[in-house]
Amino acid sequence: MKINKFMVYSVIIFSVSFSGCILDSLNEMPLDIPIEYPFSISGDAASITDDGSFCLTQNELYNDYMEKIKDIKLLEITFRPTAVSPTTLNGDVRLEIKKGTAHGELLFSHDIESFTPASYLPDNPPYVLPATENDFKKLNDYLSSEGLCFYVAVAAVSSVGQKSISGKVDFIFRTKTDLN
Amino acid sequence: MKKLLFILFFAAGPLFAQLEDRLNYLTVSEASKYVKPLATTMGVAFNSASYTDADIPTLFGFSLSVRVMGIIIPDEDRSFIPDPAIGYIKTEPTASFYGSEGSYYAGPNGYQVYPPGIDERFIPMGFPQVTASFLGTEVLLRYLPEVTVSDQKISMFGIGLSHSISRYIPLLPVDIAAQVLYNKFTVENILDVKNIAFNIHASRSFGLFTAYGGLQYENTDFDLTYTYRERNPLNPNIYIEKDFSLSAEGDNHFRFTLGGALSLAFLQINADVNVGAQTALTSGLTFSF
Repeated sequence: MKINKFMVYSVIIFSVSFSGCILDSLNEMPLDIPIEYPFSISGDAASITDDGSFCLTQNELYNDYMEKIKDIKLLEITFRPTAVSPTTLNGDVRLEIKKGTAHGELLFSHDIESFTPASYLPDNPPYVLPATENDFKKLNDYLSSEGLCFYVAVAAVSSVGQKSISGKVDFIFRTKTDLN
Repeated sequence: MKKLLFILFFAAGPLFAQLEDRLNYLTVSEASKYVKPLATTMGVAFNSASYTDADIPTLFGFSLSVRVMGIIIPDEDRSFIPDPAIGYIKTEPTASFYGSEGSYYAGPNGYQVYPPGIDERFIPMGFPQVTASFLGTEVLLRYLPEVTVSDQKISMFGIGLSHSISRYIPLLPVDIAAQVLYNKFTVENILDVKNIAFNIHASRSFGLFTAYGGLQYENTDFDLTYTYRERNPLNPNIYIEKDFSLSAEGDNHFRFTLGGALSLAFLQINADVNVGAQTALTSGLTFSF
């Protein structure tokens, strides 16, 4: 019994001295959350558009850690066509992201010029938007102010004629979570 | 008291509860790479500090000691090369359990994300042990009472057997002994770590000071159960959970130990360095008679 107590107390004394920094490291976890927004645009006009919205709370991973997230920011966006017709389609693509609804403040926009969607069909890597942290500043400020919902519009401009593109806009968000 | 002990026990409780948070999104093969440095650390720790002297008493001896150690994590153990699916742009390694931020890779099925590590380069550990010797043979026992928190039981048990070789070889200038060690560390339903080690060690006393060193072969098996969360292909915002088990082997196989001990009546203080897959600096305070 005395040896048992000695062992317990020796572990406590040692651990009090050393385990604090390890526990801090374990409790802080930067967690990356991928979210994809599907789009499908078709028509025979020169400019065709699809729009809609998504909220972070639609994502199960975000919801699981929602109470523990101390900070969140957008790291990167990719444009990932999954089907295109005709495969020779070439033109400009514009991506717009606004606060919440179509009438919300513009947070981010990007034009992909002379884009050939067929070049990015599976199993090819998607098109990574060459945006910097500064380009995401408005969007990240919105996230910091607890903005959770986004309006997304994808527009394609090319020559007149029947065409369609469907695919995903992928977002990767990085959070700082406190697991305590 | 039990919760306090649980938290203090090498940080084992939080470590293994939150290890699962980090493993949730890794397949078995990638989770194995992620935890391998942790398996090595646990092997290095449990296979350390098992001797300070090869002079095993011919009649009877007993000791009670606390061993503490710091394990240095090399840079190569802080990251690993992941293996995402075909079509993914892989340009950099990602964090292992000891690394910093995890990486993310864009590909034909959306982003594939990898977990962060705990961003540590030095891991402290410690445990108590007792020895009893008789006729040139010594039995070592390491034990911590089972602690239960949140239905999880944590326990540790270790046993070692040493035998003096030099007692059969007269006029040797040093004492030589051989030792076999077995240690087991368990977090019920999550983790099972088994370590085995064989060593030959030697020592020589110079008054109150004893110099010692040894060569050791060791092996660590690390069996872990975790919940894998896979994105639902029909709705990527929803995850499907599956229970997976993995087995990882530590990189610790050989080590060289060099140390010294100072004996003051019934007390002994020792320190040594263990050079192997991960370098361990150990120290101990021993009460013996």
